[in-house]
Amino acid sequence: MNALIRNLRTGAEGVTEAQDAAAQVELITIGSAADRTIQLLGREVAARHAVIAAAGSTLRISAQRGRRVRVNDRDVKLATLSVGDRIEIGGNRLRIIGAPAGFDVAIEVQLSSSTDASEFERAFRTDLAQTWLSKRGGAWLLAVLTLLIALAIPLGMVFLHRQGMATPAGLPDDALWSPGPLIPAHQHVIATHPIPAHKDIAGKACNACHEQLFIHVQDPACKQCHQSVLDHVDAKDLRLTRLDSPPRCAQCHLDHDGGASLLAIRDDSLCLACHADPHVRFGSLKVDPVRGFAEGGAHPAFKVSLLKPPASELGSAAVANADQCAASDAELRSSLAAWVLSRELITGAHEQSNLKFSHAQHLDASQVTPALVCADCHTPEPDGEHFVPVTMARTCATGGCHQLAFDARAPELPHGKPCEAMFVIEDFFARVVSGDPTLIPKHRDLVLRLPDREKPEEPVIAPCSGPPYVCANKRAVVEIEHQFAPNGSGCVSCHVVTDTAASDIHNRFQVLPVRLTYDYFPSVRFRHKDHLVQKELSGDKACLSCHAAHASKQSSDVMIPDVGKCLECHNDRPAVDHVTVQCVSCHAYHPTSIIEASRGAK
Amino acid sequence: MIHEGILRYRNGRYLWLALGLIVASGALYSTQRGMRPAGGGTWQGYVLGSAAALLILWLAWLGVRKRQYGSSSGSTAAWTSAHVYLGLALVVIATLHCAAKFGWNVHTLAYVLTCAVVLTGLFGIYAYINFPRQLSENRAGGPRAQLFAELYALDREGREIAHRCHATVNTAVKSSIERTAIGGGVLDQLLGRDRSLLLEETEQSSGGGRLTPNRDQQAVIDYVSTRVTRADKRVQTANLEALVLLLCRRQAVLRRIRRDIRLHAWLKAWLYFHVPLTIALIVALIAHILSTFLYW
Repeated sequence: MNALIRNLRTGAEGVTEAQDAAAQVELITIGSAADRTIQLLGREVAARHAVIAAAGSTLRISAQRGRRVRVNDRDVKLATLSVGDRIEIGGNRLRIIGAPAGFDVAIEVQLSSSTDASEFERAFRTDLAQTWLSKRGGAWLLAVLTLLIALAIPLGMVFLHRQGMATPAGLPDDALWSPGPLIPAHQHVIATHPIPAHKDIAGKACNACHEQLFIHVQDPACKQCHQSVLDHVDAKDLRLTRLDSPPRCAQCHLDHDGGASLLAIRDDSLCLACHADPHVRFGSLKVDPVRGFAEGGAHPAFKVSLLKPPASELGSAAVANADQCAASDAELRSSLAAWVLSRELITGAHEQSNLKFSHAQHLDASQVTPALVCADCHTPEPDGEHFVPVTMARTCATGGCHQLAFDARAPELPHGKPCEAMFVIEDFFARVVSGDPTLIPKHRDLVLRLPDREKPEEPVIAPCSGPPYVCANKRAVVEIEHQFAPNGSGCVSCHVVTDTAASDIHNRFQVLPVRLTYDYFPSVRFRHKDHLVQKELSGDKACLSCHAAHASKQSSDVMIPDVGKCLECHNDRPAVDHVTVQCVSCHAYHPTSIIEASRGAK
Repeated sequence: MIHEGILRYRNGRYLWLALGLIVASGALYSTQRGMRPAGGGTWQGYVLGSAAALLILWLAWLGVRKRQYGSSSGSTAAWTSAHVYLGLALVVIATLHCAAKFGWNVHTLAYVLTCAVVLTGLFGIYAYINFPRQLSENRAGGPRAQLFAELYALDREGREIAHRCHATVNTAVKSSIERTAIGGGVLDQLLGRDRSLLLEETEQSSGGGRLTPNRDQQAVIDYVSTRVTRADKRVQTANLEALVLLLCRRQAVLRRIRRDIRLHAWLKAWLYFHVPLTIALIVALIAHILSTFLYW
């Protein structure tokens, strides 16, 4: 349409001047922007404020969204205009006037007198606040997103999961709350843990361990799998103490820390919290106080667990024949099981192994050739901690060291069966007296002597003029006494034998059973393997630095070093030339089955 | 400068407070030995975490406090100085709290948001130190509205002179005024992008024309300048010369306006991230704390 825009201006002398401008436009646009057909300025005028359109022969004004136009003193959004109508926009006045020939519409414009040219800025978007950016909007968006992803949706998933309902895949779940990866074994548990109420459906389940919300992980959750772990204090002992209950598993065993190495808390303070002042919490349970592992009595002196024979005497049933003899020997062996462990301070402790043995003698190169080393008799167990038990067959008899032959023509005496040995001796002499032609020397060089003694005196055999079986018996009795009597030099060389002075030779001597201590500290971990090299010492020197075997002449000597020996190389804090140890380096928090066995034996 | 004054407020009183807080947190952190590996789960971790959470809430409250000018609890400069230094200390305390253990979880989300808020804040400090001086220099002391008033006057004058020139020149100048773009969208403001256009009408064509970019108003100045030499009447030459002069003045004003808008946008842009991220951080903090105690 052809529009005539007539701008009215008040001139210098108060005369109103009209300035006409023609515009060939489809729409008459009004606003503060420079490209508007009618440019108006003002606080309330928007860049694009309103448009006037011709619909057929009528004119219509429509305000832009959120804008206001006053037509004939009424606020309107949309109005039909006719000649004479007055329009007001932000103090600027427009009037529709009769269009002269050649024009479709004519509008008279009178700008607001109070309008400042600086209002022109409003025609543009010059501040970020005028753009889509919004602090409030951004805050709402991020807050709602965070709330949904971090809390609301996972919480919903937890609710569904605990109701035994299927959870939609792909949504954030409570795994987002996990502070770190579990150890692989626990990852497997949550991957296969059945969903409650759907025992056959496995799913990722934090509630495998976290059974109740807002409640710490409880021990039953751990013991679903860890069934064989024993408590630190058993129920019987706990009653003697003033302790409420043992700490929860999860107080020491923390997961979600990325590695199995951190699964158990290893700090000494955990132990010392109770054990530093046992009188405070342990009640009538007697436990030595421990302040650490350092010089100055922080750790109590060691107590060794020694095997002691039972107080009861062996049965002394009369032996009259071979069957009764076998029963007697079996009784001797079975009596070993009845030995009990006794914990004693190392100082003043004595072993009662019923064995006569001198370590000093065996290590003396002038008496034993070739010289023995520790490892000749003591073979480490695969655990690196213990040694294979020393036995006659496995240790003493190897390498031809100790044979049990008493005559070059006789068979070896059966070890561990004293009664049977007597029958063997009697049988041998019966054959000698009867001139058995099958008796031929079996041993080329029979030396029946202890290593440190000269060739033993042969027993004096009195001439016998009686019947052969009497003579045979007499010679047998002499040999048996030689083997078992206190002044003899056979079995009695190594074994403690009591002479009951019974008239029957079979019942006269009782060989006391031998048992060697396997583990002096059943409740403590000590790896011999880790101590085979100590600073500059290795081999036997390493062994002998702790075990004074060179000076031990009696088997009753307890060659276990006390705490002072350990402190020469170890400390609970980093120190020069010392290896740091913690309580748990030697002591297991959870009792092992060995400890349980020793507890039962007490 | 007043904004540098925030950092040097009372000889950096809050800098020393923040450093003290960092040293104390470091000392507390170092006592985490053996009993439990360092992290948020030890008592030291809980103390550090609580301190960090309280700091976050307090620093966020400062945002509210800044709008309450009537408040009597300390000057805005003091509060802002404290906000800056303690906000920086917060990152150290939060790192010590989590013992630098991170993962794809809500706990690390809270940490990342903390760092994001502080990073945007750091940009804010940079902006507050540098941009006000540049803004002031650019405006030559006056307000921005004055530049627009000048532009408006130049526009009117330009239209009038152009009206007296040849129709093609009139169209070109009028269109360049009408299609001068100032500010605009987010990127337009931040990058100072000029989308101004010009309707160029050749003498041969009538009525039609083509819109060409008129960046920095250079195209319209060039257009009118070339017409000066071709003008065959003295009056026309005088008009065209006056027009070129005016368009050049207009170009200078527009440059100042654009620079003002751009600097002002950068001065404020970081807040559009700082504030929403802070709100998201508070929500993440709630999720972090709640989830810790849901499964502990």
